[in-house]
Amino acid sequence: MMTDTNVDVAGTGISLGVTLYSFTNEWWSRQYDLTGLVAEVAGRGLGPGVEIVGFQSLRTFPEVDADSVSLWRGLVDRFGIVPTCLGSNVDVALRADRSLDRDEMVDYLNRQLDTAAALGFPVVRIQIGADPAVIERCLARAEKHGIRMGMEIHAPESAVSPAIMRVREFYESVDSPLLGFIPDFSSTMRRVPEGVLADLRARGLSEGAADGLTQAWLSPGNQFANFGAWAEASRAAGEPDDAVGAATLVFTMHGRAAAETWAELAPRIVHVHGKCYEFDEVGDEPSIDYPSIATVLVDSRYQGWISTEWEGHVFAPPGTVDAFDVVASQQALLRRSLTAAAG
Amino acid sequence: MFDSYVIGEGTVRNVTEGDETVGFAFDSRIAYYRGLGVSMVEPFEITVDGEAVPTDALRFSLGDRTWTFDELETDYDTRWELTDTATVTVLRPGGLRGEHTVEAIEVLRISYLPFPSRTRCARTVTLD
Repeated sequence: MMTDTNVDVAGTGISLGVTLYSFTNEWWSRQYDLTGLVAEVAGRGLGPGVEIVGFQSLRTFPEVDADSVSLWRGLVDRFGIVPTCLGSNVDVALRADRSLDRDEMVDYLNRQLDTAAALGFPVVRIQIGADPAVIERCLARAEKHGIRMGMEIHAPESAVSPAIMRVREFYESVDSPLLGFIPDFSSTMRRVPEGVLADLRARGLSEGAADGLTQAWLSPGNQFANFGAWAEASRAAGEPDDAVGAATLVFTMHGRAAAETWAELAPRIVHVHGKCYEFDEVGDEPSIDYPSIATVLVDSRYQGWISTEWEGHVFAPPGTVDAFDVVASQQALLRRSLTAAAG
Repeated sequence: MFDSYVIGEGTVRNVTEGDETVGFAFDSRIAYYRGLGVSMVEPFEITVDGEAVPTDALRFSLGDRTWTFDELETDYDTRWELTDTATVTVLRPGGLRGEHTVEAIEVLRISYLPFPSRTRCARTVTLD
């Protein structure tokens, strides 16, 4: 079974799995229920680690009734999967009249910590929306359950961006082993995925404007200023408004921080999101330098899970790509990269 | 990917009550990767042949429940799931006859964005 080769890859202490978010298209098109999806993941050897986004996979989340808990725990036993991380969300814009206040945010997150414990997840993914004051007040609940909270570092943030530096300082001041980070490879990319550019071209963006967009993304300086200048010039040149607007995601979803910056977080990495978009004919991911990232993780002695996170659904509609195949390609690349890094 | 599902292809249809055509409706999917509480669904912005439809002429349905957007705003108990198909009804006596262009913008208050997400879809339809 491929699953065995995903555990403690090349003796690195790093094991592989997948987030069910990778199967957003399959879930959206109702091809699978939770049991079917977990069965497919296990059957194709894409575990054993399994991560879920609570608000995607569980209808009553953050609440779960006894039947849901026993269904999930039954799947864990039956298919030999390992719950790795539960993705939480704090919907600060729940109300139209005002943002949630701190008490409400703490309650919102605490309920998700309770559910993570009920389902057996050792890590809860939190996001930049949860400020230090909220995280600090949820720490008691995390301690009660022995759950680690990992702040996802996703483009446009990076390990060294100002917002994350503030969280790093806060973590230093609290110094709890239950507080950490979840690097997402989207922060450390080397190219804009071809699928994203193809989607923009399909919306009418010219070849020249697409090249200009790539150049703006690769340019030094403030990414949002780079995008703004490109967008203004493109609109002036008559590029379709819809395509120019959609190009925002190039700058919000793809960061180009150096892979080496992950090393600064090493002792506090509690989980990793192995983002991927597409693979070439030799099984490489053109937009993300997997060998470099693998080297950083191995050299900094990260021990834990990497969840494959295929996000191609942003450009590939349901039914066009087999996400299970893409996940298998990513895990093969990751195994090769980790093995080489460990060698 | 979600744009074309704001107005599901082939789903625009007239709505009748008794002998009367009271408006038209279409199927819509959430333009996001996960479910959101319905209070975070802002009124759809809909035009018919370029003419804006007032929000009070809109209804939003999930399963067998129907809300006005005023009612939806304070419903903190119901979620629009990634797998749910909602129905948006536009009250418009006579519905749509012949060829019309319907545009809908689905507006969601997504937490980490400082502004609501807006996903647009336009379809030209011909109804009897």
